[in-house]
Amino acid sequence: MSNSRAARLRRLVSSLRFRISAAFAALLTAALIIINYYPVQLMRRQVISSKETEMTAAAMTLAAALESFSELSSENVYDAVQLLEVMRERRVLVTDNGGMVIYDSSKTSDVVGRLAVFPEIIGALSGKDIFRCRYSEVAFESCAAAPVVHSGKTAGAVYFYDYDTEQAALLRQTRTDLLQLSAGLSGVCLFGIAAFMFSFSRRLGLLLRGVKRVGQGEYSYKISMQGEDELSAIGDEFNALTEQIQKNEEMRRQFVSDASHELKTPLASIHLLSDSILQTPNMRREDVREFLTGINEEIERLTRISESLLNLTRLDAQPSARPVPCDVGAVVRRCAELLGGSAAKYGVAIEVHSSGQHLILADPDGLYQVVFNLMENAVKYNRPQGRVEVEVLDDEAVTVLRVRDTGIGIPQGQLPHIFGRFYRVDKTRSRATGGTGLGLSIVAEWVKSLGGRIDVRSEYGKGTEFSVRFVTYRKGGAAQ
Amino acid sequence: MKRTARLSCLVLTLLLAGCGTSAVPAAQEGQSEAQVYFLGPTPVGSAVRPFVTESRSITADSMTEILEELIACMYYPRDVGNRPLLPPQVKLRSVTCAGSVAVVDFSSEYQRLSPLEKSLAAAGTAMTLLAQEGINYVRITAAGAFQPPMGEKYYSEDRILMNSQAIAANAFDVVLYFISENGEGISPVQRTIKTEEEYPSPYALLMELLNPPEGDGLIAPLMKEEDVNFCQMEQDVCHIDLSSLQSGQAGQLQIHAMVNTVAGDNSVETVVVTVGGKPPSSVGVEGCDGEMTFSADYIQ
Repeated sequence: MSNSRAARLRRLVSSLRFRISAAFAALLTAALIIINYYPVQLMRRQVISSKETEMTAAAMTLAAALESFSELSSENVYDAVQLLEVMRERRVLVTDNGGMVIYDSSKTSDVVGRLAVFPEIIGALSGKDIFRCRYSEVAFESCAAAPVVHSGKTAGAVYFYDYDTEQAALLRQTRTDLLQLSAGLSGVCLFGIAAFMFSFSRRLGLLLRGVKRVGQGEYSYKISMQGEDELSAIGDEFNALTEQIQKNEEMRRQFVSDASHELKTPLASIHLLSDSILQTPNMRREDVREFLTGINEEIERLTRISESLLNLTRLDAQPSARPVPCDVGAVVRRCAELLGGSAAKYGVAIEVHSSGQHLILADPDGLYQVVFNLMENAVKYNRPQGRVEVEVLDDEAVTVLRVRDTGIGIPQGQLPHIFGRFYRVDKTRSRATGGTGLGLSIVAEWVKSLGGRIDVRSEYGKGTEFSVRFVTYRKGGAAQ
Repeated sequence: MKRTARLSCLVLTLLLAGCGTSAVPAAQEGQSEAQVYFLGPTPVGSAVRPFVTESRSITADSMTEILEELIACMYYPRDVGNRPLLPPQVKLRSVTCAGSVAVVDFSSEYQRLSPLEKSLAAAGTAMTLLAQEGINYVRITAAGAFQPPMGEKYYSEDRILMNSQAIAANAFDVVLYFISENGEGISPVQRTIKTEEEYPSPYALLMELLNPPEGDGLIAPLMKEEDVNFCQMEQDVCHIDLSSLQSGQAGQLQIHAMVNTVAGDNSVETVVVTVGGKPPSSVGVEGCDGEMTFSADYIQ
């Protein structure tokens, strides 16, 4: 029981909501302490400072005025006090050099004739200017004392006493006002924090719920979050991510389905042919040979499909090998030689237009695969007596490979799909020519992997042109 | 390291022992406790030394011997930082007790002290001796001659002001009553007033009535200081004699404002108001003759 409570408490304390709230509360407390402490302290110091300036000046002024008298008496001190108007609401005492009070401004309880040995008066009689101020809740109680010097000797002391309740009341009022302000501010801030945390928790909950649902495989789940803040941005990114995951998942399913279908067709042919051999007693040797040849062709097709799939999987899974400078023209010429026999069989002429070197940074196997597949398609899907033109040229910093044929062409509506896996424009002809439906997919993946771009233009019934652009490699510097 | 630890232990032990001994020991039988005055150390943030006292056990029997012993103690402060008020060259010649009066005669070196030194020595000696029960007055002489600052006068507790408390002002929260703007009642106003007395006198309260609060439209029941001829307390009764008073209801409100203000004080039970020594009815103000107490009838 206590363990579960402790765990709940631990969860609460480690939650983001608690931490943010605690941080807010700590900041608020600190701000309130500062608001309530410093202004009051500052005011108090200012009052004390102004009292010191004012009272010390008054005491010194009176002391200076009394210095002209050879002997201090209540009369001449009274005259000086009246003349200088230094009394105001303060009490003024003047003593002789022994501390005996000879003048007191109080009308109600004067202390003339008494011995005043206050520390401040002793200090003044010792030649020092003294100021002291004490603040209580009720008043600022201050006193200032100054020596009266006559002919180089201390003749007495002047003592000012001030009891200021007005400034203290003002300070008290300020403190009360600040406390009220703080209370109001705290209320507003706490309400604000609560509202923010409520909204934050709700939105965080939405995100968390979304992550859980997607984790359970519900890729179509979308987070609906209002606003334009970071959480909304995370929500948008999350939605984009799940959309991509959903697409990939669909593509994966489609691919598995297509691959199964493609593998099933040759397997079905093999099954049919082998079954025919088995079911037909006394089959002629020539027929058996013909059937076995068919089986062999289907096996070769299966092998091609498998190799192509493996190629694609490798391209998906691994980055291409470290690129090296490759001459596109040389690769084109080699492929033309390799496809020479096949082209002759279809009655297609291959023309290569390339002069000099056209270097690009690429994986040689990838470049070969791109050139070979494009040229092989151009040959296979051509007309008898047709033509394949292969051109390599430099266009500023780009090397362009163009493979143009005079074949059957591709309908405009199908152009966007031709790089899809197992997509065939003419299914019958493709299978008849031994196509796997993966050639152009492999080309597109390699071009992407080599940092190039592939475009296609086609006119149905007239021919197709593929253009591949690579960044040209310059010696002595990086690819540009 | 070990030496430091041992030294620390030793210092701690000494400090603890010191704490024990510095505490005032209880006076044993035949002993009495007395406070002896010295100049204390300068507090932080201050430039002057205040008076401080140290406790001493006195063993003498007669008053004269006790006083002599106390003055002898004044030369030797025990606490570090305290300074004696009597310079060592000033010797005690004699102490004489006559009733509640003690006469202290110092050696002639006393005469050569500065005026301030004389005052400090005299104040310290007098306050030390005046703390003894039965001693109310002290006179200081040197070689038989009177010495300033008091001369032939006696030192007594009320003639020596040891600190500013003796002249300190006090603040009090009081309730004053002023005549309302429409002239049909009186309104209370709370105010903090400061006074040099221990408690604000009825006269001081009346003087506060000269200043009505600004902006509230309230009217002062007294116009000037001279409106009050006298204000005296007799037992619990406060007698106020005014020089003038308005007639009719205006005069009634003036009197009720004054009576409520003065009678709010706990020490004043009733108030008697006169005008030039005659009852208020003599100037046309009815219902206010004789003793009056606090009344809520006119308060708005």
